Amino acid sequence: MVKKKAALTILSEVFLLLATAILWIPIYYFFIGAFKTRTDIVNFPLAIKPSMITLDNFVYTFTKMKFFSALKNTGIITVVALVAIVVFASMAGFAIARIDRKLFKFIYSALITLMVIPFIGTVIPLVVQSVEIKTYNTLLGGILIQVGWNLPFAVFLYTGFMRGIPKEMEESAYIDGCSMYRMYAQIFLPLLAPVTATCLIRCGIGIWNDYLVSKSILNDAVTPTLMVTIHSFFGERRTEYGYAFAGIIAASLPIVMTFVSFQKYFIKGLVAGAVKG
Amino acid sequence: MKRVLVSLLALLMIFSLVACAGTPTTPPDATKQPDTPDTPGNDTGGKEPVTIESWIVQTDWLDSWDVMKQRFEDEYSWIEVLNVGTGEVGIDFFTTRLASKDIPEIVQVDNRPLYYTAVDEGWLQDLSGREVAKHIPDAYKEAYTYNGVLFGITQGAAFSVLYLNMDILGQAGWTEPPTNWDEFIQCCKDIQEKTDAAPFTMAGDKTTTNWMPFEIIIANAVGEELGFGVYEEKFKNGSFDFTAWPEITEKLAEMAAYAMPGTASYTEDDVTAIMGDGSAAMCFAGNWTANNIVTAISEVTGSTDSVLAVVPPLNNAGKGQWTSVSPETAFGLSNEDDSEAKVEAREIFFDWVFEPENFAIIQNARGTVPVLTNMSEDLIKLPEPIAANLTNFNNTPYVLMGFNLWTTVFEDSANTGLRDVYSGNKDAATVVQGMTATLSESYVEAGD
Amino acid sequence: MADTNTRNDSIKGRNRKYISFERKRTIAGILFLIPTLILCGMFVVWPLITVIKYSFHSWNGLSATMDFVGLDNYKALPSTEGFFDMAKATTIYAFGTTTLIVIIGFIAALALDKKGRYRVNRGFMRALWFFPCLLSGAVVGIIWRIMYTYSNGVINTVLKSMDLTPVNWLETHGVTMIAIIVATVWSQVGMCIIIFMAGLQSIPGELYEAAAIDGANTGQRTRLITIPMMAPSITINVLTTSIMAFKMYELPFTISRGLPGYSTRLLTQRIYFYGFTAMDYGIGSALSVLLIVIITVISLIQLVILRKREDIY
Repeated sequence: MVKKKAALTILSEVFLLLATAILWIPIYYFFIGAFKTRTDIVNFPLAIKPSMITLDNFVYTFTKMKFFSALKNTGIITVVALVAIVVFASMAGFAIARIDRKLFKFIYSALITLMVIPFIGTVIPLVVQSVEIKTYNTLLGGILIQVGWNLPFAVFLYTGFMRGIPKEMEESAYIDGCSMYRMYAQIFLPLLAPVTATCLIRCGIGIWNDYLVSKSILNDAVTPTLMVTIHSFFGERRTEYGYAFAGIIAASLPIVMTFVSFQKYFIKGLVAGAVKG
Repeated sequence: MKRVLVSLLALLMIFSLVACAGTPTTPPDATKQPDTPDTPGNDTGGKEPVTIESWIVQTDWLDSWDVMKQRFEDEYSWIEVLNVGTGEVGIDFFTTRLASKDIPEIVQVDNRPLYYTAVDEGWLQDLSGREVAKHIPDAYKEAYTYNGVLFGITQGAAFSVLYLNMDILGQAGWTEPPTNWDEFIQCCKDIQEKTDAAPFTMAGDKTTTNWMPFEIIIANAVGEELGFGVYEEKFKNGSFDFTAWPEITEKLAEMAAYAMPGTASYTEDDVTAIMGDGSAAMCFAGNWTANNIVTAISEVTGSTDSVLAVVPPLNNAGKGQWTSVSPETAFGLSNEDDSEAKVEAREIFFDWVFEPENFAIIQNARGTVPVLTNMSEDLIKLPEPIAANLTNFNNTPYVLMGFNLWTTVFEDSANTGLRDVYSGNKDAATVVQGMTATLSESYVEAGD
Repeated sequence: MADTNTRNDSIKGRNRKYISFERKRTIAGILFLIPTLILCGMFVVWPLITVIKYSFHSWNGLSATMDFVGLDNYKALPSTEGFFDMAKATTIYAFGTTTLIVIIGFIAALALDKKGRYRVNRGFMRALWFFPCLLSGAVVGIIWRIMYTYSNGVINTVLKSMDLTPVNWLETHGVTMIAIIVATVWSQVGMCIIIFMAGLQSIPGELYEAAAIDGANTGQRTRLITIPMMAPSITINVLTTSIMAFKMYELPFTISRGLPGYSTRLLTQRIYFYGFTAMDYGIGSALSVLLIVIITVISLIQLVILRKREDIY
């Protein structure tokens, strides 16, 4: 019986590993492809030999793709937008979760509804608008749109989380004559770490990987971002698979590095958010 | 958890800081702040550094852009030229920039409704007073004149070419290229039966090349009968009926059977690579990719002798041959309200591009025939196979290439249909019928 | 008398104090909400209203004048080229990706949840499965486009090496749809797994123990305990995945360009085409409104189902 169970376990594990291997074939393919020449990629797509390895793709990509300025722009947009999202969403979530009034409930439902609006549906007026308010082709324009579009989801996360915090805590604080602002800063903020992690991760991935906002609001020559740059780079050099792969690795490296080093917390944070969300 | 969060944030900030420090700060984008008053010093020769955007580079001469940019910036050290829009769908790129009310200083223009709208709205300058306009034949100026505005200076004459890898044709028993429709089809058949290579391919992803064989079929079917320029006229007023000549549908159906699988999704780059792999024997392409394709084929065959470039032989035996041509994509100059320095810079760059020895860089990278009358012969280096056949290319009667004629909606719909025919998903008759309907509809819409 | 008076006064005073306290709280709350309201208002609500306005006008995006045409744009929608193909493609794509992601995600989550002897480290495995989610849609599109290429893509090379006929992935009706669905599932399944795993971890272990004592086998336990307990997670995943699928733009477009025919041309691609290529903002906006309505309706239906369960909100 025990042996049979062990055998079953091992069998299911083998299946799982097999599935994982299939899932990873594309990643393996483009990863080794980045170190090979086009002929080798085409003729031996899944093999790599020391004799094939070349760094030419990376050299070319780094000299031709505006990698560093794109990295800088994407970095700035991501960091600033995330900070703003966390600050504003936690404030809003705090107010909605703690004040029992019809108005706040209404605002909450309205914000939730905004979560489902597809960005592409509003690209045209957004371009027109950003020209009018003079944020077209500035990082600020990109940041503002990212913040605006990520806030509803972030507020949703924070509200859900704060509703779970027992009311007794604040009641005792009120009796001590604590103001709303102090309560937010001193009592709630420290408790928010798990949901903040979720928010940073979910919104962070989205903003880092964003293509549509940057493509329509930012000019790719003056303020390039990573995903737009890699996409038009691929358009220029469509048959040089190695260049595209090297570009993809370079563009995804920062977020992958973050993921690898914080892998444990990353998934924990996501799970924490998922329970509530 | 808290510590992790803090370090996460710190890491992100370090990333961006490193990125900031790692690159010299990009030039303050003078481009984007029309309200910034221009610093004095303009009058003293305009040495204030200025950045302009140029949207003239096409992927087929991307490699030569660096040479050109270097040359220009050596000469005019205070002007930096940014290359924009390469690798994107051209028309999408331009519409986005139009919507943002900020177009590149130098732009590519074609005979499409979009560019006419841009002229109407005052986005493009009238170039008739510029130096280069004196060196352009009148016909090419007329082609780019709309409502009395010369809005583009063409890069040259574009014509359709059938490139052949004679090594593969030789294996199929053809030592000479086919000269008419029946031979062409027989040749395709032989290649398919006797060799591993596919008979022919083309860049189906690009509408111009996707449409190319079809328009040549039309040209050969209607050219003699209707006479010069009539097809274009009928097309533009929506009254051309593709089904009135059954030959068009029949030929399309016949040739589609020999298109290489994948043709409908290939880009011009893909086609170059495929010819370089030797996996297709012939390809339809413009003369603007001559250099790339000829080089690619000769790499696999070992010499340029086995590469031929001919006028696509889609004519009936014993009848005159027709082909398709077009003034090539032209370069236009922005009329945007910009700082003085920028206006000066964009004009300097525009004139500089059309100076023969500079323009030769573009021409020779692509292998095209220039129309600049002040360009001396010794500056032009045509690829061998094109040069060998140049008289034929120049003297064959022609129809205009599709992009001069169609509306955006027709372009999308007709090419979607054609791609379906080449990939064997739809029969030619349905698609050709659909085209006639769409054409008359899009005319009604445009007429409104 | 005096006694009662003072008591009333003190109650009134306390009430007054309470009211002013409540008012202060409300004002503070509103202040807390202001940044969110301004940002969402400016960058989400205002464009939304504008897009609705555009949809009643005929405008090329450039000219200064915009003609009011009433419902003409909406009436013209069904006769736009390939409208019904687009509707079909969008439905198949959304339905296909949602179903596959939820089913595969559920099975994978069950497998990844089990711990014990003979099993590979779970944290590591979860990370492996989540990894594709880190890549952007544009990047995933490029990778899969290269892999699907007919003449020298890796998939066909492998097929040929196994003596199978290569498939024309990007040019065969039906097959291309499968191709873009597979790529989407590949890139999005990780997020779904994470949500499922959160759900699985919230199921009390005692339930399984009790069931085991009653002699229920694995299949019965899955059917009778896991699936009902996982219902909220399933609803959330169906909701988020289907919204994602309707919104998806760059991934399928990079792979197939909407070809062959109109078979993979999704609603989002049509919006982009009319807005940016054809410069027909009226039709483009009418399509946008259609997309917004579809997504809102789907979400509302599912939110109603969610609310019924009550255990989520």
